[in-house]
Amino acid sequence: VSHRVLVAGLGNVLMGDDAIGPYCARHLMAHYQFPPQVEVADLGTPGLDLALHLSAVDVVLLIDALRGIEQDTIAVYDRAALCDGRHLTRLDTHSLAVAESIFIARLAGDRPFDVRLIGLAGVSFEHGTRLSPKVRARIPSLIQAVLAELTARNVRWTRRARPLPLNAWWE
Amino acid sequence: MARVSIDPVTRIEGHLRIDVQVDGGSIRDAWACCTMWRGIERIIVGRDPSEAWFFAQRFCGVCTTVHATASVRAVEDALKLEIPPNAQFIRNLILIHHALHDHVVHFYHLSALDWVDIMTIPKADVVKAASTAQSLSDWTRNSRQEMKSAQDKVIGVAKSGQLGLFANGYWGHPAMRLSPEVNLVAFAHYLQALEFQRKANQVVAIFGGKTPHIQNLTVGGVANAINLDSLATLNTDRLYWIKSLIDEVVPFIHQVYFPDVCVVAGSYPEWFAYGSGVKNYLAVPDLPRDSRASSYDLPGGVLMDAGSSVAGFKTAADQPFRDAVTEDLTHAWYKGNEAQHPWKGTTEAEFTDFQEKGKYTWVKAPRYGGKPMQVGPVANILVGYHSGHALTRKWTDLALDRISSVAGRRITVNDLQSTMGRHVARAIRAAMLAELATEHWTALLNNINRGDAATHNPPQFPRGEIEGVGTHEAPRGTLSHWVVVDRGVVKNYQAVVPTTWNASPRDKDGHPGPYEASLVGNPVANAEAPLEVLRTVHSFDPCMACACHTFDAAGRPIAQMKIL
Repeated sequence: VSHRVLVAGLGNVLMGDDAIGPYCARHLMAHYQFPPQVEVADLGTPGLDLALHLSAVDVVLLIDALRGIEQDTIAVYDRAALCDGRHLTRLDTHSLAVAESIFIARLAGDRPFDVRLIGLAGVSFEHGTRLSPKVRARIPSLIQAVLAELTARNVRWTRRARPLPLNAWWE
Repeated sequence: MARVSIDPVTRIEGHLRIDVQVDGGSIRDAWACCTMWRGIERIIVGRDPSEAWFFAQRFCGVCTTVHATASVRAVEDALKLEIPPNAQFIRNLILIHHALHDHVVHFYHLSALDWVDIMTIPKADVVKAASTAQSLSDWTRNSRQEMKSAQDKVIGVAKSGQLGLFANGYWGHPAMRLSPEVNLVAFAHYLQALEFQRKANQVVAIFGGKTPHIQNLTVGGVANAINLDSLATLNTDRLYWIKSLIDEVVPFIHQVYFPDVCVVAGSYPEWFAYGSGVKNYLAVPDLPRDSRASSYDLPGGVLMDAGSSVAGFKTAADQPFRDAVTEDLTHAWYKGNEAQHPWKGTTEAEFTDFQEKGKYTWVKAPRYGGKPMQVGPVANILVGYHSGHALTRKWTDLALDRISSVAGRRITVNDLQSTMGRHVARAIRAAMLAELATEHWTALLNNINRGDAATHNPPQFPRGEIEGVGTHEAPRGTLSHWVVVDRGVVKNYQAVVPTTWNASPRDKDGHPGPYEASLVGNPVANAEAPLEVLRTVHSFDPCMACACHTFDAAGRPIAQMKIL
């Protein structure tokens, strides 16, 4: 399959479990290898600039921290769930930027056509540069959920025989 | 008298609340409230000052490079460390392209919909729209086909019923006045803008590594190795790749963004009469030309009381700037009331709920010599214009001529002190930066060709306590990072950001900040659809993003599992 795929971790690494996305992206880079059409990135908190990254690819897997959902839960959202009714209706703005970015990218260039958000419930979003222990223990499950989405799209990933150092520099 | 609270004012980020008192269709009083705790810089205290910029870069995902730059400059200032000319030019090129990208996003994607009524586009005459667009500039993508395809997109969205981003516009509002054809031209360019932002962003990425977080800064310069013949470094190929991107970005700014803003501004001339607010202006000089930063391509200084005599400082290292900045906590949710200098600044929360006469926001009140200041493109352009800066004068005069001819009356440089003036000033600034992009690229190449490959001077930290300030004239205005280093460790760190200046609450003397003051006298035709408030607040380009960004799990997941 030659679809261009972006796997992007989202979140602020200075806000506790909001680092789930960036941490997972860096975990994937350290432990797995992907074919050249797949890019794995820690995008931080790009706001509407996310549209720039989305509009260059066909398939997007976003990894993010979830709130408003039971602890220890992993959930997967499709484009409709990400976008419907999420425009300027709430204070929560990151979801708003995700919805707006997808909308603008697709309006301008019909990309990406396949979008998923894979999230893990966060516990604490206080200032700090460490994941909470409970969340850290759930990271392997979240990684498996992301890899399963890749497998479902015929992307061949492999585990590195010798992992690279995990560059979660903020910890 | 009606009291209106407006929450998601920022289309980027939703942590700004504006309260206004409306009387007889006009605003009597206003309060700006940031609903998100902003003490994120405390995370840097206790760390290695050489690494501070890595953390500073994560304060805000929209302003990554600007915080990174202000941070390394603060530490360099504390160390009195000069940086090589190549490093200045490389940083300048990154900052220029970040700003171009940011200004274009602000106009087309974050505020155009306050002025452009998308829902009239299906009625537009495509032939007329194309000829209108072609009369504005020589841009190659103003054809009938471009206009037709943009119109088809709107028709498609409207038919699908999935209005998405367009579901919440104030369509059909009496304050919307552009013709369907002009709306269509603006929307066609809205679609094209994404492509050109990506090219501007690519320049940042070639120098800085991946965006949004550049990797190439370091205290003392940049980490880019320069060798024109090496594959692994900044070489001839990469430099000319950057040049080719600049050559694509510049025409978009000069032939699309700049003329579009002039047409919109000329079509709403009454908006030069609203939204002035605080008429004291602060801009720091930027785009240094040499290693000591003794001369700059963008001038700085202060203008008080709408005057035309520029005072203050010539370089950001000058004492007046360092002494004049304080932050007042009287109406902010922090402990203490007295004005603090940032090097002595504290950030200890004291939340009280919204109290109109007491504390009501997480934003501190920065003051310059005790006065509230407006920062941003208007400050930039007025300071440049009144100090006789040739590049500023050239583009400002051109913009004013164009706007006046659309408006049918003379619009002057003083009219820039307004809601519409902020959009115009931003477009003028972008036009200047686009010109400077080529200049700084040439300066970099010439310097390398003279045999200078240096990019970095290593820092050395003394035993005692040192203080520094790093400034950057960022897209939203004056940014300053203030650092105190003791024995090689960060002892205090405060970021006074542009949105803090502009979204400032009242101070101990009761003087309101720029957002608050700008709304007084602003019209509001319908308090239920306060489009006019959005116009004025959006014109500042508010960014409250220094915060948390979780995904609110309100939508229905397609799969969910509980980990046991």
